[in-house]
Amino acid sequence: MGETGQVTFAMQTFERIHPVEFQRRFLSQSTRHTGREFMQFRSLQVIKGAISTAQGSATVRLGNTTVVCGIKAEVCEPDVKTPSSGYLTTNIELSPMCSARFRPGAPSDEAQVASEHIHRLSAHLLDLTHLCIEKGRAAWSLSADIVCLKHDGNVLDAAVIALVAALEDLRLPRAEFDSATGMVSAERTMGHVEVQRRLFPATFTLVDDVYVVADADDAEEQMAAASLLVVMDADGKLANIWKRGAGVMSKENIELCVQAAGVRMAEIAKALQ
Amino acid sequence: MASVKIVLPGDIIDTRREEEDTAQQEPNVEDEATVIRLGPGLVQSSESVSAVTAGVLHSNSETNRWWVAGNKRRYVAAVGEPVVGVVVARHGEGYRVDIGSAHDALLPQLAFEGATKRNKPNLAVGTVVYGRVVVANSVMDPEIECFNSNTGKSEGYGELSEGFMFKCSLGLARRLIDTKAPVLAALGNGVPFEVAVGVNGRVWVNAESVATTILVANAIRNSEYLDAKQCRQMVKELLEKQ
Amino acid sequence: MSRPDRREASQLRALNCSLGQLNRADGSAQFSAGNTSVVSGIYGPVEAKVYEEKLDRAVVEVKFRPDIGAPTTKDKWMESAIRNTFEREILAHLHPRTLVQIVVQLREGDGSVDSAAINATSLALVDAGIPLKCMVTAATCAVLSDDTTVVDPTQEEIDAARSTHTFAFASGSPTGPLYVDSRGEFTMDEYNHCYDLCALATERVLAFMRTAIEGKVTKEAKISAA
Repeated sequence: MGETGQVTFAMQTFERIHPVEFQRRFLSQSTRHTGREFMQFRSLQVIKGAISTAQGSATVRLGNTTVVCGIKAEVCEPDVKTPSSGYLTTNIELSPMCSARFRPGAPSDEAQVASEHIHRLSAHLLDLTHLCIEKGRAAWSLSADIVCLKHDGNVLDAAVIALVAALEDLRLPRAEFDSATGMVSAERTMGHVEVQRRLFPATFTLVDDVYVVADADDAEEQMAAASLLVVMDADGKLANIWKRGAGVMSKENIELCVQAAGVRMAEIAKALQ
Repeated sequence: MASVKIVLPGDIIDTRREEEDTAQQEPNVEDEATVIRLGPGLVQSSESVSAVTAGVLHSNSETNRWWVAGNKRRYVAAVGEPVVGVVVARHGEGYRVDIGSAHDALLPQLAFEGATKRNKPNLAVGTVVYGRVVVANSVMDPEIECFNSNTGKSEGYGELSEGFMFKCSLGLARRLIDTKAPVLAALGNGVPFEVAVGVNGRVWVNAESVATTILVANAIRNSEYLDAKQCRQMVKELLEKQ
Repeated sequence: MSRPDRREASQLRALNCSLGQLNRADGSAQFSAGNTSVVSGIYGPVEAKVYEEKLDRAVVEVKFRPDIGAPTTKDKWMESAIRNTFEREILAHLHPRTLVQIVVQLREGDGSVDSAAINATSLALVDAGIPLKCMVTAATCAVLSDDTTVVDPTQEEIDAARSTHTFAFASGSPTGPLYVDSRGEFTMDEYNHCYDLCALATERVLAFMRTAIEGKVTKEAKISAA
């Protein structure tokens, strides 16, 4: 202890023993512990077709957060209620591999909520009638599995981007339905499935009840009072505004976030090319 | 009846109302009288006082105390309150008693009238006891005692043998604590019985016969939403049926 | 422009609620808007399990039960929405090491279920006497394909809608919403319009709740004063 009564120790020690105060010191100086500005997103890297055994896949890195999305296609019978539509099912896996917060076993609440939200968002990604092979008899069933490899905050953004990228990477063989045998035969030629509505997510987090930061990392998410997910489509229309957590974000703040999401859209679109 | 002010959580309470007269006479005085004391259901948030539970706003202009009276079903222990509990476990130094609050209360073996290290009561699990809360705060388990530790006398607390215990709302229990409670007065005129009321929403009754005990218990439970007149009528009808 | 049930665009369905219906729960409320009906029951503060108890505050747990079948991830999503909305409105630090359990049962879902669930839970928490920072009320809006905006849509209207918007507000602090879920295809103007409509609607819901709670409190107060 120095003469002034102040304690000095290494920055890492400070971060360990008082993470909240550590973050506050940066935030009160209008900066973040990683050196980013409040509304600055982390660098985004999208690698399409990373998994050769899947019909479509993509790896997305958002700073230190890494997710992989693989899409498997199977032929099945369409639902009686929608005879000319296929299926797209989505699932997010947050295993102990990606963060010490998760335990092995049944999916955590966080994973289930994220899965359900992605599922809801995925409703308009594809025109499901394009997945029909023969009305009422055969259709493609796509199952998109999103696996988080490294969880350093904002997994939902990474997952949505990975899903869109994997769908764009998706190649399906041309399939014919033989009504005589009831069998589906696939040709060697592969085709794309058009992504009807590309989605561009952006998450903003209210940290410590005061500061709104874009694309929070894990340390910042730990002190989140609220988070706001804004999803836009390629036309600049909004697809989803989802605020969780009871921290107060004013109407004006939310509008600013939506504007920032519009800017972010261009960055994501570039990374998706 | 004076106009009743009902508050909901989040309502800002104007505590200046009563204070204004004194403030005008002696401005800049921060003596005892201007200190506002907040009771259950009110909290101070920055500069203002707001309600956190729904109920009737009460205030005492002399002591400048403010509180909200509402009804609940879940007991939160408070020091000095009489409670009826059930012994759920016994261990070296005493008993664990279920008094309906989040955590079981502790009842030391020596917290009985005349209890010494050699001579202490032996209560079985399931015994109903009448006690007084002596320790109640949010971080510790509550503690009760079955005697007045200042006088060493039981003052009516202790094991409740025989009889019948039932649960009711905390609001009803608080009304029953008053010996003038209409339902108890009406019953007392008709049949002899013993009653122990815990403000934790548990009431123990005992009478000469099982039938009378049940009658008393039913009458008390029926009185939840009845006023004095209706209570007397209800008790009369029950006694006639017997 | 007419709605299937002949309501005005900004008109809520008939609201109905009753407090304390469940006699085993510490607090309960039934809230319905038209055919949508939700029951919420509160247990607490009760003893928390050792592995989940927090030393400085109460744990808030939400269970959402659908009207038909076993709970699915959809219901987990709803649980998280309700928990997130109420977690900080409940003054949890007043009851450390305890658990406040909220069980929400959907009785009939005919649109605007999430706002009904939030409203029912708000009433049930008041009935249970759990200390709350303020009242929480929610309302849902839908933008239909012909660009008209309707408040408190039925399932039929939601199915045909271009976008749906649910907002929850805390009473007395109109600075911002507690909970937002806007989905579909919409513009910022539509969002703002829905925000304003829902803010107005929640005021009406709050007035309705106030009347209901005042009724219950008066009933009890009269007896204790007599």
